[in-house]
Amino acid sequence: MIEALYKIIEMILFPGFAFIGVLSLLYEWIDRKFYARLQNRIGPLYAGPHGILQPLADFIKLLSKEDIIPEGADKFLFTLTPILFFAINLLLTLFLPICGTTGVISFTGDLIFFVALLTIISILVYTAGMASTNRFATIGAERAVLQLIGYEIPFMLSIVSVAISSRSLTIKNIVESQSSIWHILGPNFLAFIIFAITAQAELERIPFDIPEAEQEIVAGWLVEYSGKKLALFRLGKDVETLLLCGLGATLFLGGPLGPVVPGLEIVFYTLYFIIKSIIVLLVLTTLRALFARLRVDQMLVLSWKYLIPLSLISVLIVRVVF
Amino acid sequence: MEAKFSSIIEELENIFKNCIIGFKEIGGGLLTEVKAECLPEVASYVFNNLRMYYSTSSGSDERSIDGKFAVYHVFSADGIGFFVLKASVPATKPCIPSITSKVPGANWAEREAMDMFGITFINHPEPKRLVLPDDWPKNLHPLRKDFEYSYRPSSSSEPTISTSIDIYVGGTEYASTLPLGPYHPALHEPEYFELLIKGEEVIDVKYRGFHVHRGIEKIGESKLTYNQVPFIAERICGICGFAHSSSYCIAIERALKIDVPERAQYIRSLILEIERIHSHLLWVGVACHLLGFETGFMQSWRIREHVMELAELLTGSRKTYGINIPGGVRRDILEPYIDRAKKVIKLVEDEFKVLRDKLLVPEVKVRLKEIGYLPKEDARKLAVLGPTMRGSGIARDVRKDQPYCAYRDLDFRIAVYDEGDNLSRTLVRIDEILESINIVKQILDNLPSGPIRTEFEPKPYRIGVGAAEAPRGEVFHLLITGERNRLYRWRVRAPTYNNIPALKIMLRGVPLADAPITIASIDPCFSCTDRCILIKDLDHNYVKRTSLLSFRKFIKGD
Repeated sequence: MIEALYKIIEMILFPGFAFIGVLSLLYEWIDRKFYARLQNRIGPLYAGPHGILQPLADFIKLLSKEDIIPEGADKFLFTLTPILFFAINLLLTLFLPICGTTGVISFTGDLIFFVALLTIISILVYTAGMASTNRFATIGAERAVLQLIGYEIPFMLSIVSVAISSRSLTIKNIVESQSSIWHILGPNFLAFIIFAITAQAELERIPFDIPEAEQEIVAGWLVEYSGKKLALFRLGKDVETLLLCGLGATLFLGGPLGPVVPGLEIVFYTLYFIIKSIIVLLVLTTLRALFARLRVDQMLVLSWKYLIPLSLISVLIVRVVF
Repeated sequence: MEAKFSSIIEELENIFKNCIIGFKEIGGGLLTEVKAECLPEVASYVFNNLRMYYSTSSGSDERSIDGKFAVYHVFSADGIGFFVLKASVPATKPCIPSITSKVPGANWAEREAMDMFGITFINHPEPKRLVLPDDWPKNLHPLRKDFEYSYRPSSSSEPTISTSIDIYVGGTEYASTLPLGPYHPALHEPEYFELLIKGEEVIDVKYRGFHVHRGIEKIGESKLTYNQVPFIAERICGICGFAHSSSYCIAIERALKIDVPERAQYIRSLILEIERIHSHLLWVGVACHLLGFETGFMQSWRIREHVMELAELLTGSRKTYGINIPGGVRRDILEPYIDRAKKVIKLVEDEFKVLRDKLLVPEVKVRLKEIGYLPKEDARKLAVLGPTMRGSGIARDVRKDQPYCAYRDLDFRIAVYDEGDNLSRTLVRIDEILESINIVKQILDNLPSGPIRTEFEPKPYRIGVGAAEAPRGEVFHLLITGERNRLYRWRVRAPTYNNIPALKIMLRGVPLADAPITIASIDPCFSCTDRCILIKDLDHNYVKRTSLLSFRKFIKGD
């Protein structure tokens, strides 16, 4: 009974949904603030100290906005996709080892399950765009799928090389295998670079914000969404950012592991996890500030000509070393 | 002036003995009056054989002078002056042959004269409305003298001439339309491009503009006096307004033969160059934004801020300086500010050089190269201007070809690139920023002393042409002075007016992702192109409300 209660608290409060919600809004703030400073801007400023509450304010504002469903849209899918998008992202965060070597959910081979669900998010982007039947959204959705063909394979391969060096497909074992040395410091460095680039594509950020390229197709697949649905997408995106930064930290930077004071493991582990995932976030933000958007054909050339061969090489290296 | 044109006059007199009525010197060039029926041949000869560059055309209601309408076609005889062809049109039956088939660039200007004066152009390939809205009543032409400037007609229920143009090329079955505007994140002003796309490739484009026609020419011809017009002229454009007020002043000074003090000339050139620097920096920022390169956008606008402050220091305003007036300038540049200005310009130069190296990196170049190609010959035919022209390998610049203000004394180079793609237009602008910085330095070092303004005596019915190289290309003003200190006719032509028709060529075959940057590569400034009263497209909501593909249909596969 107490065990079940404990599990529920873990899922809902810490390190579950509530904690993830707060953390993902914080990450959005860090991302925006750092991005702004890289561009000699100030960034969010007014809501809260240094504008730290701005992402929350934006979220609440969106919730209060009018929610419009276009006449031509497929109403069922149009309503379902934002919910699914948010829910799947939130579900996936439960796999992240935040305050210990295991997440809230952990089982043998959970990495495969994790990556499979991550792909479904990209498919949801496609349904979101197609269900709204706006022409900009349709183009955006098509671009999202084209882009998926590009980044998914190197993304998976970069994870595979980590899995090979840990000799496991379970997140828990991958974390524990890094207790002596982090993967990023070994032959998996190349895999980390590929992971960072493809995570950028997964998150649809510059240079891979092709499906929602504002200046070309207005907001792409997102164009018809407003009010609560848009708020859910936005929050879902924040959670996804946290998810991928957390995954990067888990797979390459040793996850929550580090020197701890006995008795205070939870605090230390959480702290390490946050610091490490923020490092990954800053890497991603820097990439965003450095590049111009690619065209979808250029993106495919980049991934098939360079990223996929490189990730195969990375797998080979790892296979030879371990 | 006539002496410079002597060889041209002789040549034309030999060939078109029976066509030419007479030659007359005007402020800034030569006016050649020809019989209306010979207009296409003469224009074709001037354009194709004498290789003069087409500038613009204008209608004029001269019924109160000689009982006729008139049409002016302006060409630029580089290094000599402007060459203006005039033909009179009888008021009872205003018909005149069109020159568009010989000089393709004249398409828009003739359509505008059609809208505004009701002059019919025979054999015009596209006799559709350009400026007037669809619900504007038939047979009502706003620039005719019997049309009161404050009159606002009620909308006619049936659209007279359709503006929804259908120029579908082959294989339209699978093509779909994609509206780019009137409101779109890539356009900062209301303008409508309808892209016909096949997958991600643009196969054709339709254009409908003039949503922000403000009737500036009409106000200038009816309400305002000579000295008030420069201020409204400066408000034609929010970016290159000073080029407009300068070219108006130049036109009137040439028409009335006013000698402008040297110091005023230098001050005008200085402000014109500062305007060019800030405008090009703005463009660089917008181009980066359209490429999704937000860092470049922000950094470029950060540097631009210094230039805006410099303009404030020298003129008192960040933008819309309001210092131009016929006969000189209203505000002097004070000695202590010159040193400060030098410091700012040095800072801008250093910072921009750093930015330039960061901008021209492979990931930006790959988005610009070989996209939006405009061949040199098409550029000349459509008479594109400014960096769009120079990016297609035509080495023209009003500052060199028709010197005005202090440019005769200044040392500078014209940036020309031959490739004709978006990259070469970008490079032209980047080079021009550095060249302008150079010019500003020269002016600040050699600013002559003396008065800044001179008085003048207005005389009626003098014609003057004035052109200034605005950041976007040649701004052209043609005017006829009138009585009571007012203008009789004032024609304004912004560079974007000539550049937009070239987009049809540039956009064809371009990937959709590159369409916004291609449109931006002409640095469009729609409000100055439109110039001119509130327009409602009530009956012609031609953005069809159908989707590309219904989702259910897609799932079922039919």
